[in-house]
Amino acid sequence: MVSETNLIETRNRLDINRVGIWLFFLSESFLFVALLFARFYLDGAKRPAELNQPLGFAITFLLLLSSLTAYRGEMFVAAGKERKFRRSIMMSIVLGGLFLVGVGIEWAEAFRSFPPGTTFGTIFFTLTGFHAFHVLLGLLALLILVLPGQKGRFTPENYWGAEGIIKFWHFVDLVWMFIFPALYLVS
Amino acid sequence: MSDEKLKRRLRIGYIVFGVLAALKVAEYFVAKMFPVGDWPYLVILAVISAGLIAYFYKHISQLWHSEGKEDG
Repeated sequence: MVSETNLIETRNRLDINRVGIWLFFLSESFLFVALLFARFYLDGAKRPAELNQPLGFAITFLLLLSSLTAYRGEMFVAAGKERKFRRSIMMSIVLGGLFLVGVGIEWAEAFRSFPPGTTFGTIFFTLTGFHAFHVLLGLLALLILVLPGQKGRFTPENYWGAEGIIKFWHFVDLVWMFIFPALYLVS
Repeated sequence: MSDEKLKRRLRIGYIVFGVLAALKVAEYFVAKMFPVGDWPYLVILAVISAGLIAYFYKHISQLWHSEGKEDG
C-alpha cells in the first residue's frame, strides 16, 4: 500500500517536473524569438557574402548528431543500460564541444568581415553568443551526468535528472533550427 | 523497457535524424533556388524541424499523456 502511494507520488512529481521544464523552455523561447525579430527589424533579410555557409552547415549537423546521441542516451537509461547511456552522453559532449569550436572559428572570421560594431555583426554575435552560452551550459550539465560519482544514480524507474538535462540539450538544438536559416540562408 | 521496445525507439531516433538532415539540405537548396524572398519556405522548413525535435526527441506528448513515452 505504501509503495503504491509512493509510486503515484513519484508519477505526479514527474508530471509536475515536465510541465515546469516546458514552461522554462517557453520563457527561454521568448528571448530567442525577440532576438530573431530584432534580426529582421534591424537589418531586413540582408546577409553578408563573407558568411561561411559550409561551416554553418557543418556545425548544424554536429548539433543534430549530438541530439541523436542524447536521445539514444535517454533511451538507454530508460532501459537500464547504464554503460551505453554514459557512452552516448559522452558522444553528445564531444559533438557539442566541436560545435562550440566551429562557432569559435566562425567568430574569428566574423570579427574580420563584420565586426560587432556593424548592424549584421551586432545581430550575429548576439544571436550566436546567446546560443553558444546555452550550449556551454548544456555541456556542463551533460558533463555532470557522466561524472564518476553519478554512477548508478539513474534507474529505469527514476531518471528525471538525466531526462531534464537531455530535454534542455534538445531545446538548444531546436533553437538552432531557427537561428541557422535566419543568419546563414535567408535573403 | 524491453529490448524490442528499445530497438524500436532507437530506430525512430535514427529516422528522425535522417529527416532532419534532409530538411537542412532542403533549406540549402531553397536558399539557392530563391535568391530573393526565400524566407516563407525557410520558416516552414524550420517549423517542421522544430516540430520533429519537440515531438520525437523532447516527447512533448508527455504533457498530455502521463505515461506519454508511448507516443514518441
